[in-house]
Amino acid sequence: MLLWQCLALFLLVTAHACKAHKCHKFTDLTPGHAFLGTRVRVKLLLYTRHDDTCGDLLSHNDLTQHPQFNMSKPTTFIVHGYRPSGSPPIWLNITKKILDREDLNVIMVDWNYGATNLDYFKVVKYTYRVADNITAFIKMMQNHGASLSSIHMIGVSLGAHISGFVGAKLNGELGRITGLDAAGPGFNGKGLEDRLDPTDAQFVDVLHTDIDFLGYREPLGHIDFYANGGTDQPGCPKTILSGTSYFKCDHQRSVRLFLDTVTGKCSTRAFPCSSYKDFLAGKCLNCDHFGDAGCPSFGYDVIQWKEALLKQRQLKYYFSTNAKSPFCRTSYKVDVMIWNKSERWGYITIKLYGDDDKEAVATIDHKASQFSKYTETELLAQFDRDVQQVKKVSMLFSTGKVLQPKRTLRILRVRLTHLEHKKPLCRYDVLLKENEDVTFRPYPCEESQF
Amino acid sequence: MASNLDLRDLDLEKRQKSEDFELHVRNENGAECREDCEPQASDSLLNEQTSHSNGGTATNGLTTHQAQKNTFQLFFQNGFFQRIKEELNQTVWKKCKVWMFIPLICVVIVVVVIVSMAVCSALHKDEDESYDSLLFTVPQRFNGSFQLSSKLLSDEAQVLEDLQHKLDDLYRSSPALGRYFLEVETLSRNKTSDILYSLTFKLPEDGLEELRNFTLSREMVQNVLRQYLYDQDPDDSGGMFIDPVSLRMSTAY
Repeated sequence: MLLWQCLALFLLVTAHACKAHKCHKFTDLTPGHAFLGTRVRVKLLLYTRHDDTCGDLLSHNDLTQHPQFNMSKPTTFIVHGYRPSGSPPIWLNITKKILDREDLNVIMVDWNYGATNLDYFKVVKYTYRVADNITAFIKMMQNHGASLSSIHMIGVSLGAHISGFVGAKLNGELGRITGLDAAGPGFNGKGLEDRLDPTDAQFVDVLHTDIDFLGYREPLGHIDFYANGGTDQPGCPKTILSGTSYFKCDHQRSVRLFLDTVTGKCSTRAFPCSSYKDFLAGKCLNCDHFGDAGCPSFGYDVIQWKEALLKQRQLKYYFSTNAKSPFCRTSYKVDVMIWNKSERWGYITIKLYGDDDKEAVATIDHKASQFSKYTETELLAQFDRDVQQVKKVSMLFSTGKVLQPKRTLRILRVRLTHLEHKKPLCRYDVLLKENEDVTFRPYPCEESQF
Repeated sequence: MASNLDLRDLDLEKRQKSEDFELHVRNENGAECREDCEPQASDSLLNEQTSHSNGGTATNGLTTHQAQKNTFQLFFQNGFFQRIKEELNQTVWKKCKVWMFIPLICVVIVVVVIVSMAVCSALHKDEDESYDSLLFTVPQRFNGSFQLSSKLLSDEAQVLEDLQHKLDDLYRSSPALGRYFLEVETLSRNKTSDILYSLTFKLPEDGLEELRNFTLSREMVQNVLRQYLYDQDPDDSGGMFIDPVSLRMSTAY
C-alpha cells in the first residue's frame, strides 16, 4: 500500500515538473490550412534569460502562473505577418538574439492561426482582432505593475500595423514600435486609424525594403529608413525564375537587416534625403543638426536618437547594404579635383587595403559622375566592409564607352573621408588612365587651400 | 554570241514567268475574273477548296476570303521566295554567286568600323598632353626646408647633389607639375642635417591665376613632395632619409 502511495506521489511530482518545463513551440501549419483558411487564435510565448530557447505559453487570464515573467523588466513583443504557407517564420531566433543583448521579457505573438490563409484580405481584417487580444494582455500586464513606456513592439509586415493598432488603443503610450517593412496591400491610402502612424507610440521607427510590392511606400513613423531606396534589395532575385523567393526576398530582407543590428554585428548610418538618387550622389551626407551623435544608426539602436528625432519633421532616411550578412556598409566621402581641360564623365571603383589581405570595394556606378577642371566632385563611396587602418588605395576610372579613345582622369587631389572617423586621407597628382588600376598610399590630409 | 542568246532566252523566260504569275493572281482574284474564265492547271488547290465552299457569293465558286488567303499563300510559296532564291543563286562572276556577297559585305562593314576606330585612337591627341613650353614665361618659386635623418658627413656636396637629383626627378616626372618645372637648388644649413631648397616653375600668362590657385598652389607642390617622402622606405634610403614631418614650404614672391 505504501509502495503504491509513493509511486502515485512520484508520478504526480513528475507530471507537474514536466508540465512546468514544457516547451511551447510556434504553431506549425501547412499550405492545406492556408487553402481551407484558419480562424484567429493568439498564442503568446514568453522567452526570458531564464530559458531563452524554450517558449512559455502565457495565460491570458492569470500571470501569476509565470514567475519568470518579471514586470519590472522591459518587455518586447514580436508580431509576425501574413503566413500563406502556414510554416513558422524563419527568423524565430530573434528572441534569443534580443535576450543575448538585453535582459528583458520577449513575447512572441503567435497568431499563425489567422495569418495562415490564402485570402490575404481576410487576414488583413483579422489584424484588428489580434490587436484587441494583445491590447487586453498588455492591460493585464499593466495591472501587474508593468509600465507601458517600457514596452517595445517589433512588428513584421502585417505585424507592424497590428502593433500600431495596439499602440493606438493604448493612447500612444507604448515606449516604442518598430515596423519592419510594414505591409502595403490593404493599407496603402488608409487613414491614420487604419495603419501604423507616429502617434501610436512614444517612438515609432520603420524600415522599408519592398515599397514597390508588399511593403508600405510612404513614411509611417518618427523615422523611416529606406534600405537601398526601399525597392530592390541586393542579392534578391531579379526574375520570377527563382520561384517564390522573387516575391518575398525584398520583404523578408527587413528582418534580416534588423537582426544584424540586434546582434551588433554591424551598424549602418542612415542619411536624411529627398530621394535615394540624391543620397547615392552624395548630396545628403550632412548630419550636423544631430550634433556629435551624427546621423542616426539604422535598427535596434536608433532609440538613442529618439529625442533629436522627435523634434524633427518626418523625413526619409536612406542607406545601402551588402547582398548578404553582414549587411552594413562603410561610407566614405570622396572628393576628386581634376585638371583636365575638358570635363570627364565616368565611373570610379575604389579598393581599400588594410593590414590583412582582404580588400574593401566600393563602386560608384549608379550614374556617370561628372568631373570638371578645378571643381571638387563629391562622391559617396560605400564599401562592402570596413578597413581599420587604410594602408593602400587603388582607383579605377571607366567611361563605359567603347567607341571612343581612352580617356584619362588627371587628378590634382583625391580626398577620402570616413564618415564615422572623419579623418580624411589624401593623395595628390594621380593619373587615372581608363580601365587601368592605380594603387597608392594615402596620407592624412593637411588643411585644404584650394 | 551564244552567251548573248542564252541571256536573251533567260530574259524571255523570266518575262513569261512574270506574266504567268500576274495572270495567275488575277484569275484567283474574283473581281478580275469573268464568267468564261477557266481555272488554271496549277490551281488544283483552289479547285479542291472550291468544291468544299458554299460558293454563294464568289466568282467561280470561291469565297473572296479563301481567294485572298490562297493568293497570299501562293505568292509566298511559289512566287516571292522562289524569285529571291533564283536571284541569290545568279552567278555574278566565275563561280561567285549573289548570296556570297552578303556575308562579304557584312565583314567589310565590320572591318571598316574596326579600322576607323583604330585609326581614330592612333591619331587621337590628348589635349591635356599638348602644350607650348615657350609660352611658360612667368616664374613661380617655392622655398622650404627639411631634415635628413642623420647629420651630413664629409661628402656634403655629393649628398646635396643627390638630393637635388631626387627632387628634380620627382617634379619633372609629375604629371601635373612636370611641364612647369624649371629647376631645384639645395643647400645645407651649417653642415647640419637641415636642408634648404628652392623650387622654380615657369607658368604661362594665360590662366595664370587659376594655375597659381590650384595646380601650382603651395598645397599641391608641397604635398607632391610630402607624399613622396612618406612613400620612401627608410631601409633603402640609407643616410638620405628625409623626415616627412620636417618638411616646410612657402611661396616666394
